[in-house]
Formats: sequence, C-alpha cells, structure tokens
Amino acid sequence: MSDRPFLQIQQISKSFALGKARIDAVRAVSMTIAEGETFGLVGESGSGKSTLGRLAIGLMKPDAGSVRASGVDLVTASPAKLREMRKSLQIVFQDAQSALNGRVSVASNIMEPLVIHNQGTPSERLRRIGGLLERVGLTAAHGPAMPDELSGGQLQRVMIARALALGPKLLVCDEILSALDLSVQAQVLSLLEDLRLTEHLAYLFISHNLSAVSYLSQVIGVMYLGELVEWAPTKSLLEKPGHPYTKALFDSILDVPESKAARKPLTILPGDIPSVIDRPKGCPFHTRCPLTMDICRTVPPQLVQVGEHHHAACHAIHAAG
Amino acid sequence: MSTVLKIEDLAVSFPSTDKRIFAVNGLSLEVERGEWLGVVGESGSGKSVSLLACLQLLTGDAHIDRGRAWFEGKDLLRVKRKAMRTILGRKIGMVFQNLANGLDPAMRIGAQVMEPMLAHALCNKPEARRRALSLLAELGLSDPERQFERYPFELSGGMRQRVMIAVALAAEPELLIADEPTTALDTTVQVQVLSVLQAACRKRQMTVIMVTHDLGVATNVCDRVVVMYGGQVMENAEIDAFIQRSVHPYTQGLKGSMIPITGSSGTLQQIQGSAAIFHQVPVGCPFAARCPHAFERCQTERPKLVRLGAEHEAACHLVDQECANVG
Amino acid sequence: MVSRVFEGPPVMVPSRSAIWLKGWRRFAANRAALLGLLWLILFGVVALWGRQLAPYSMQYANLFAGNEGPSLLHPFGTDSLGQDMLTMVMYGLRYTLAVGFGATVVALVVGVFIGLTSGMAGRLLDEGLMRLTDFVYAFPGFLFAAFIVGAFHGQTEVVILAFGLTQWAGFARLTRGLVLTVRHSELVESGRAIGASRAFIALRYILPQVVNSIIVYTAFVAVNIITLQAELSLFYGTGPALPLISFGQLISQGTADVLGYWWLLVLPVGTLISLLVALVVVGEGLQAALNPKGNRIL
Ligand SMILES: Nc1ncnc2c1ncn2[C@@H]1O[C@H](COP(=O)(O)OP(=O)(O)OP(=O)(O)O)[C@@H](O)[C@H]1O
Ligand SMILES: Nc1ncnc2c1ncn2[C@@H]1O[C@H](COP(=O)(O)OP(=O)(O)OP(=O)(O)O)[C@@H](O)[C@H]1O
Ligand code: SF4
Ligand code: SF4
Ligand SMILES: [Mg+2]
Ligand SMILES: [Mg+2]
Repeated sequence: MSDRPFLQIQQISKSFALGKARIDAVRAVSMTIAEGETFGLVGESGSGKSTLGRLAIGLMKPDAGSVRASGVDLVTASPAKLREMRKSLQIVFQDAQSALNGRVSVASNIMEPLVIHNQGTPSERLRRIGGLLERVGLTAAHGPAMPDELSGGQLQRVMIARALALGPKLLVCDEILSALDLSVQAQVLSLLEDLRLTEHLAYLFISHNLSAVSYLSQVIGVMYLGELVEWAPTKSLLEKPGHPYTKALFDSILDVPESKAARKPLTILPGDIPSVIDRPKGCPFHTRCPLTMDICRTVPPQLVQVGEHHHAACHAIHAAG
Repeated sequence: MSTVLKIEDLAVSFPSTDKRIFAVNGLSLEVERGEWLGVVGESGSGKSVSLLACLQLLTGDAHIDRGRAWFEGKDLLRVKRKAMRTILGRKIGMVFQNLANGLDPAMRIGAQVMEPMLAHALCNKPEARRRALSLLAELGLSDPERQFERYPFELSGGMRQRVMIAVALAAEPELLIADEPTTALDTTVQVQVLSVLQAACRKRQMTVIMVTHDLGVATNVCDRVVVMYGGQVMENAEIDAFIQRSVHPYTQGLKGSMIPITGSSGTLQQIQGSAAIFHQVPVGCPFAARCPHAFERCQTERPKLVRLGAEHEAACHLVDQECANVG
Repeated sequence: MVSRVFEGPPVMVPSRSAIWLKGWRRFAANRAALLGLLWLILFGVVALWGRQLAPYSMQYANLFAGNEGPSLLHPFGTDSLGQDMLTMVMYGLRYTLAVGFGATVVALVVGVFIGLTSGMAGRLLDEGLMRLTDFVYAFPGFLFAAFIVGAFHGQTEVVILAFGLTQWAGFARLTRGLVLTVRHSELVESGRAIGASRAFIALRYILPQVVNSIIVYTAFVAVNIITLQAELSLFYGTGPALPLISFGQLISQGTADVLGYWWLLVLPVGTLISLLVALVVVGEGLQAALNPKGNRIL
C-alpha cells in the first residue's frame, strides 16, 4: 500500500429533495485513497455509493465538507481549475452501451476527451487511440467500428480506454461488472489490476459483487444509509468484519450449496427498513441489527479505530473492545 | 404438473446487420407450473434474444426463422400483437436486463407500478395503489409512499431494478421472465427480492424463468438449470444434477470461472477464447472452437441432447460416447 | 509524476459520410422501406407538379364517356360525369399531401417546443404543460377538426392549422420523455466527466438522440393525420371546394357507385392506402437505420 494520499474526502454530505422533505444520500463521510490503491465500496442499495463516487471526482458539489485531489480542493476550485482536474479524475459506468456515443465510431468516442482538452496533433491522437485500444486488450482494428458492433465486455474496455485517454490518477468504477458474464468479468478485473500496477492508477471500485471487490481492493469501505459504517484493509475486513451490517452483507452471499437439500434458507434481515427521511435516531442500523442495545437507539456511534487500520461505527464493538 | 411454456426449435437471426448473426439456433425448453428455471451461459449465448422473441419484444430487424412457443395452448410467436398485449403484463411478467429499457423515464414510479393492474382492470385505483405500495415495501424499498411520486432518474440503480420487478409482479402473472433481475442489488436486498419471488412461486404456483450469470444465485433458488451456448441448450439438469454431476465441458468451464472470495489477487480462471458470434449456423458443436476436449466429430456433427438421468440431459459427443460405451 | 502517453498504431476513423452510408445501407437493406421511399417521392412529384402532369384538367368532362372502366385514355376510368379519375386522384394527392405535410409540421413544431420546455423546466411549469398535453391528447380532435373543416369549407391553411393544433400532444410527450432520459443519462454524465462544455453536450449528445426519434415518429403522425382527414370527408362529407378535392370526397362518391363501377372506389382507395403503407414502411426503415441495435425508439 502506497501511503501518499491522492484523494482526501472530509465530512462530505449531500442531500436530494424528495417532495418537500430531503434525503441525506451521503452523510458526513470521510475517506482517503492513496495513489495506486483500490478502495472498494460496498453497501446497501440506495446507500449513497454512486452519489459518493460522483462527489469524489467533482461531478457533483457536496452540500458540506471538502474533497481534495492532489491537494486541490474540488469544492472551491474555479471552473477552469476543475476542468484541468478532470484529466486526473475519471469515471466508468455500468452500462457502457448507453454511456458511449452510439452515433460515432469507437475511435471518435475515445478521441473526444483529447479534443476537448486539446491534446496532441490529429495524427498523434490517432496513434494514441491505437495505443489505448491495445492497452485495454483490443486492437487498432476496433477503432473504426461503431459501438453497437461490439459486445458488452468490449464496450466496457472502450469505456476504460476513453477514461484512460487523459492519463487519470483515479478511476471511479460504478458497478462496471454487473452487465458482464463471469469470464468477461475476470478479464476486466485482470485489466484493472494490471493498470494499477503498471500505470499506478487508483480506483474507487463500487460494486455489489463482493468477490470482485475483495479480489481487487486493498481497502474496503461499507456504506449504510448514507454513512460509512466500516472501513478496513481487505484481509482484516474479511477475517474480522466488525459492524453487524458488514457481517449481514457477507453472510448473505449465496454460495453454491452441496445439494438442494443443503441450501441455507433465504434469510432476510429482520426489522423495519429505515426511512431515509425520518432517519433512525442513534445508529442508522438499529432497526435491523441483532445486537441492538439501548444506547444504539439514541446515540449515533462514531467511526473509531477497532484494529490495525480497521475502523467501525458500532457501540457493540466499542463496548467489547 | 403441467407445462407452462414450451419452446420448440426456436431459431432467431439478425439478417440486416452487415453480416447476418445467428443468435438462436434451435432452442427447445420447457417449464412446469410452479417451477423455477435458471438459464445460464456467457454473454451472447442468446439468452435474452430467445426470451424476448417469445414475447414478441424483439426489434424490427430481428427475424424469427422457425420455432414455436406454446403458452396456454397458443403459439406466442404467432398470436396477434393485440392478443399479446393482454398476455404481457397480465399472464407473463417481464423484468428486462437493461435498466434503461425497463421503465418509462417520463412517468412517475407509482403510476408505472399501478399500470398493469389498471390496464388489465384487475382492481380500482385505490386498491392498485395499496397493492403497489405493499409490493414495493416487500421488495425492501424505503418510504414507498414518497418514492411513488418520483421519476426513475431520481432513484439509485438497485431501487430502479426493484421497481421494475414490482411492475412485473403487479398483476400477479403466472409466468415471470426475469433477465438478470438482481445484478444491481447488494447481497442482503438480493436475498430479500429472491425470497419474494420464492414466496410467489410457492403460494400462487408462479413459474419463473430467470437468466443469471451468478451461479450462486442459480443454485440457491432454481429447481432446474439450462446452460446455453450458441443459441442452443448445452445441458439441462435438475439442480442436484447440475451441482454434483454436470458433465458438459462448457458447464465445467462456467463453474470454473467463478471468482473466489479470497482477498488476494491471484490469476483468475477463465474459459479459453471468447464467446463467439455466429455468422453461420454452427454445423457441429457450437462450443467446438473453445472446447479443450473437442475432436473431429465435434466439428462436423451437431451433438444431440442425450438423456443421462431422470431430469438431466446434455448435448456433447464426449458424453454420448461414454454413454454408448457404458450402455 | 507525468502520466504515460499511450502510443500505438494509428487507428482509422470513419468519416461522417461513411457513417451515413452505413445508415443508408441499413435502410436500403429493408426492401420495403426503399420501395416505400420511391413511392413517396413519386407522390411528392405528383403533388408538386400535378397540374402540369395530369392528363386532363379538372374542368374536363366528357358526358358521353361517363362511367367508363380503366382504359389507355383513362387509366383510372371516368366517373358518371365523364371526368378523368386519374386527374382527380392526382389533385386529391396534392390536397392530401399539402394538408398531411403541413399539419404534421405544425404539430411537430408546437409539440417539440412544448416537450422541450417541459423537459427542461422546473416541476411546476412541467406539471402545467403536461396537463395541457394530456388534455389535448384526450381532446376529441376529430370532432373539432370536423367542425373547422366544415365551417371553412376545407380551406387548406385552416385545415392544416386545425389538424396541427390537435395532433401535437404525441410529439410533446415523446420529446419530454427523450429530454428527461438523455439529460440524466450516463452518456451526458460521461461527457461531463471528460470536461465537455454544455454546448458540446447539447449538440453532440442530446440533439442527435432527440432528433432521430422525432424523425421516426413524424412518419407515424403523418399517417394518422392523413387517415383522419380522409375519414372526415368520407363520413361527414366535409372537404374542400372544387377544384381542390380530398380523397375522402373521391371515395365517398365512389362508394355510391361501387356495385357497377368498381374502379371509382378501388383505385382511389388503393392509392390512398399505398400512400399510408409507404409512410409506415419508411417509418419502420428509419427505425432500423437510425437505431440499429435493439432499443426501439418508439
Ligand atoms: N439525481 C437524484 N435526484 C434525487 N435523488 C437522488 C438522485 N441521485 C440519487 N438520489 C437518491 O440518493 C440516494 C442514494 O442514491 P445512490 O444512487 O447514491 O445509491 P447507491 O448506493 O449507488 O445505490 P445502488 O447500489 O442501488 O446503485 C437514493 O435514495 C436516491 O434516491
Ligand atoms: N438488435 C440486435 N442486432 C444484431 N445482433 C443482435 C441484436 N441483439 C442481439 N444480437 C446478437 O445476438 C446474440 C445473442 O445475444 P443475447 O442478447 O441473447 O445474449 P445474452 O445471452 O442475453 O447475453 P448477455 O449475458 O450479455 O445478456 C449476440 O451475438 C448479439 O450480438
Ligand atoms: S451501534 Fe448498535 S445498532 Fe448499530 S450496529 Fe452496533 S450494535 Fe447494531
Ligand atoms: S461436443 Fe465436442 S466440442 Fe462440443 S462440448 Fe462436447 S467435446 Fe466439446
Ligand atoms: Mg449506484
Ligand atoms: Mg442478455
């Protein structure tokens, strides 16, 4: 793990209107991603992971808090500076087919960032696109193709090539695997890992695929109801998940059983799904947590260190530790 | 038990693309009432195209070359569009693979979930609203009343996927066709959604055909799994047979490429080569170009499905020969 | 650290015309659409230069040759007054296409404007405009148009406005939906992520997406308007005064005499139907050409 921090997020919050009320999509989250490090982000659907990803690269402005990349504060940066920063902060989405411009060729799609940032002469650009295509495991021959002529996995590679065009330092990957089959998932994962090692790229890797996240990440963060409730080095998190929600998340993984009879029953988290508007007082997870204590209903637990580099926000751990 | 949907020798191609693509090449399968069938296979193996074809949801440039799809005594490939409209949404619910295609971006969530009930006159508006709200709550969506008034773009990916499932379940269909219905969900919500579907299977004898890449999901909920490649059935096995005795080299390959949870980045196993696109109808075994066991016969002769057990069949010459040697 | 520049063999970028050519090939691969397009062009020529091309004038009447079947002199036969049916059909086409084309353009302009505004506006304005749209959508436009056409004796400009102003709601709904979709799409977001300006995003991403779908929809609206207009003069006998003539009038005259003189009905009806079919297949062809993979625009 390189320890030079590249991205530093401090106490950022973001809310959206829901009728007259507001939803806290992200609540006072702080995190750091080092250069060349993969931060895996997992958590409940709707817990604010995608929102956090967009905040992290300045695609959205937070309501409060700061986001600093290479020391530049994205919240207060001038539009020109922010545009400059775009080169080092990129994002890849789940649905490559709808994120690419289907009316122009693959090559033109990859060229767009180069044109917008005025990089290279036209002939240099063409060579660069060729290099990028080869770097993501395609060939220059894919350049003239239209996006609808490629498969899902190939399109995802084109998306990655486009994101790499400006030489970014951080790539946010928002559910980029979920449309891909297992073998293509494996290919994309190997590509990302290879890029990290050779280009020193850092990732914020958002995914529901816990095996992919644990394969790729050095650090994993867990979100619940807009809050970061635990983060730790991958090994530590897998071996000693601290937060009850993290445990629930990993316990709900469906492994291939020995036989039909040996299946574990589908166990749903008990309790009420918390409202995103009238957030539960105290710990956000207390409506469903098996360990709930009285204090959990009133006092929000703080994210504190519970092991080496291991942080969790849970009264039960604090009490035990 | 009675058969709900029976697909016979379905073939679909895309003639108007630059090179004709043969997406489905003689697919046959059946599902029984109350059964949960899993369909697995790599990208491009024709899973979506064949199911969409049965619902007449393929686009103008797709061509159904031959085949039948029997549902309640009618051939779905040949019923009039108007009749199809009374079947779709009412008798057959559909969850689309592509989040972008499934919901109307310009219509509020609530209206979309209520629509199947109102369009098929199953109940009045307040009742539809009540049912829609309870369905969304069952699927784990928080504050369903408030979400009712929102547009799809205001929801997270996983929330949208659950709304789509709610739309498909709204009219209590007899058959649910779900194309990758839980890809955008975290593991806890995934379990919750699957258990809602399971309850509908048990209580109302709903039948489910579920396409998935996730073998963990398939083996935990399905009664039977069909493995597809090149638009054909490679293996069709009852779940225990699928888990313990699958024989097809392609099935073995799929199982081998599951990513283990280890927390370290070693090399990942893959089936060699990448899923082919067929510009001709495959003559021999569609998997021959990538199969580690391929031999001459595989190139020239299409393997037939060979019965290996009461509810287990596979299409592979290797298996065929072994059976012949044993028997 | 200076990030590495990736170098490789230069790629080919297909030119804009190559991409158009691909689209055209997809369109032309659909034989029906190609034929439909030729048919529409033919009709367009007839509509524009019908007066010069028509074999007879509208005043021509040969009472001695009334109710004659198709012949070399009168390919579509003659009616009871001995008027040449081909000439009448050509004049009918002129009127029908003028109304169909004009009204479609009016509906398009009004609908797209309202849809765009609604899609980009805040909740309140959006809500208001959508109410209006729903009202117009459900409004008995047919009766309204019938009234207007009757009151103004089918005067072309008035008819165009009457149809245009009752048929725009579909355009408005479509446009609003498209704007909402594209505005929040991953396409636009990925554009913002690479630092594209608002203008770049609007011109390169939003506009083409919206325009393509609208082109396809236009063909279907035209079909709708032409059918409505024919029905109108058929059932209500409202139509333009001579020398303008609508298909509905021709057909209703033909219906009266259908038993003895089939050509009076069959040939005008056939022409009208071929026009509608041509529009529909061209619409389908555009669908395939502008949107090759999957996602139907409509
Ligand atoms: N553009 C928006 N307008 C209004 N609300 C939004 C918007 N984007 C997100 N939200 C809300 O913010 C919350 C968090 O959404 P987000 O997309 O960040 O979740 P997520 O963790 O990525 O979920 P998933 O795993 O399902 O993708 C949700 O309640 C969602 O409804
Ligand atoms: N509209 C289309 N035009 C041309 N070819 C198409 C179209 N839709 C699908 N295909 C082709 O048909 C084949 C089967 O596609 P299909 O979508 O059924 O695969 P799938 O098994 O559902 O894969 P995935 O797991 O990625 O969803 C593929 O080769 C694909 O390229
Ligand atoms: S703080 Fe309490 S309610 Fe929250 S996770 Fe810990 S034990 Fe459960
Ligand atoms: S038939 Fe031949 S190529 Fe096909 S799976 Fe069996 S051994 Fe492999
Ligand atoms: Mg998300
Ligand atoms: Mg599919």
